[in-house]
Amino acid sequence: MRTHLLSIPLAATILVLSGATSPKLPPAPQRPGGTPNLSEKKTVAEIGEEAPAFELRDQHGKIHKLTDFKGKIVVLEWFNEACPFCKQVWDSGLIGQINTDLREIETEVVYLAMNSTANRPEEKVLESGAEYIKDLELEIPMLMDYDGEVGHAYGAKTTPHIFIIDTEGILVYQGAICDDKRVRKGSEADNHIVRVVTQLSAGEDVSPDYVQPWGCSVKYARGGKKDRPDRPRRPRPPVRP
Amino acid sequence: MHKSLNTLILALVFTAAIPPVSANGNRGDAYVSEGRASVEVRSDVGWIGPGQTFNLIVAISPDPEWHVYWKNPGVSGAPTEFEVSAPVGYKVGEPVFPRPSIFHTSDGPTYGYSELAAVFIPVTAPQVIEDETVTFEIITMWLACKKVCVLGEQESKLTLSTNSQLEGPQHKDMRLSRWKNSLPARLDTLKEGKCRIEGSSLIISGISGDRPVSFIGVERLGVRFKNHSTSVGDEGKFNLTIPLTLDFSATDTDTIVVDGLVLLGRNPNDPSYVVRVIANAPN
Repeated sequence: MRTHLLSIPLAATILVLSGATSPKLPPAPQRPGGTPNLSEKKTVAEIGEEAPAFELRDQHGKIHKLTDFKGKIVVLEWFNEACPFCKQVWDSGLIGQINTDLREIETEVVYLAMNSTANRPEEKVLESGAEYIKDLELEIPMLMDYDGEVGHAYGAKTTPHIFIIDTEGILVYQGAICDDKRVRKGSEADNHIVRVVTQLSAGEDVSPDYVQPWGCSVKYARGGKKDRPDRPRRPRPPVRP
Repeated sequence: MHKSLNTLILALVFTAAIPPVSANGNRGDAYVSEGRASVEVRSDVGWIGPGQTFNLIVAISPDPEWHVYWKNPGVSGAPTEFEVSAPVGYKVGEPVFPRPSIFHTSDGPTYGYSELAAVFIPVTAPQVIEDETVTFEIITMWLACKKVCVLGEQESKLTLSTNSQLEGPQHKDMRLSRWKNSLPARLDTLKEGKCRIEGSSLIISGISGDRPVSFIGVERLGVRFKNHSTSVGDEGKFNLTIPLTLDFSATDTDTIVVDGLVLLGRNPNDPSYVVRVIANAPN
């Protein structure tokens, strides 16, 4: 089974690299070991504190651990290709451009698309997300967090929602990807990922370290609690004696 | 009986087949967009006079069961935004949103509208104007959500007459007055309504019999609001304490505008008041 699992990502990678159409996707990844490798505390990640650890598989079946990236700047983008805001920033070429810019600023940067979407079967989420990234010809790992544990540990609320971790594993930024919701400003836009990585690379403090994120809500796996308006309470009927 | 039934069915078929009307300027035109909301644009005056301040009104109606967002969407969503192109000399102010509803999600609250919301955009005319017509172009951009979200955008044009001598009269239709009533009032119009920043908290006080009393803030660069606490005294007195995080290094200025809304009661038609305080950087 182990050999089989390892061969799938290899095959998928070869297919992606060779430009073959419709590669067979690996089966929905399970969390390695069956249990999340999150930090003990259940509170949401705070700026200036150690970023919650994770160990998740990407669309090719490769396992990514946060601890593997020590010494690198890690950018996490909460991602859902069905969200129009995510689609806009990816389709427009902004994510590709950010990745190009980051490599020019700092060679040791890792960009990960975090997928906590659970409003569809896991296989569908994996398949559509993987196809989408492949169609854009981007080599960005999409980490599957179907049970949402990592998303909740970081407090990811929107897609996109950005979290940036410095080389020491400290969370230094969380919030919006940029100030250009419609991706129209071009180089005039304030791109928070590029700014933060530039500040980190120059040894400066990250400021601002929070900008209110915008986007669709993360479609976490949850039971029954849906958005509902705050309706006026109806008076209770009188109690009969 | 059969004949009349057939006529009715035919009428329904024809009605359903009529394409949606695009709004390009004419007052009252409705537009059915693909963005799960429709937009209608009008003004509150008969014509524009010299130096007159009037409102462009954008009425956005989400489709049934969908909602759009307030200027602070809350934990997720995106604000409804406007781009107004006005003739030279006309000054366009900040849009004034009606009181939003609070949508409770398991991740926290979001703020917005599941029914028509009329947003007022104040405009001031130049002191010297000709007798002519002027056209305003308004782009409305929104995110509409139900179980999924869609982006919507509509460009509208509104042409109004100008008069070089006389201010235009205010429209007084029922719809307009209903829309005006749903706008938040100034805090100083609430009995003993006051606000101040004390330490790292925003303190709001006033007197009202409406309960509950709550606050929703407008998050902007350098300002974060934490959960507020309310204390209630005798004769309707209330005191709201909202812990703040102010990060002056995030802005290039020595001041940060802290603003939001005090909401009284739960009903969308209950009163709301604008809170606006300038916080100064510590020396």
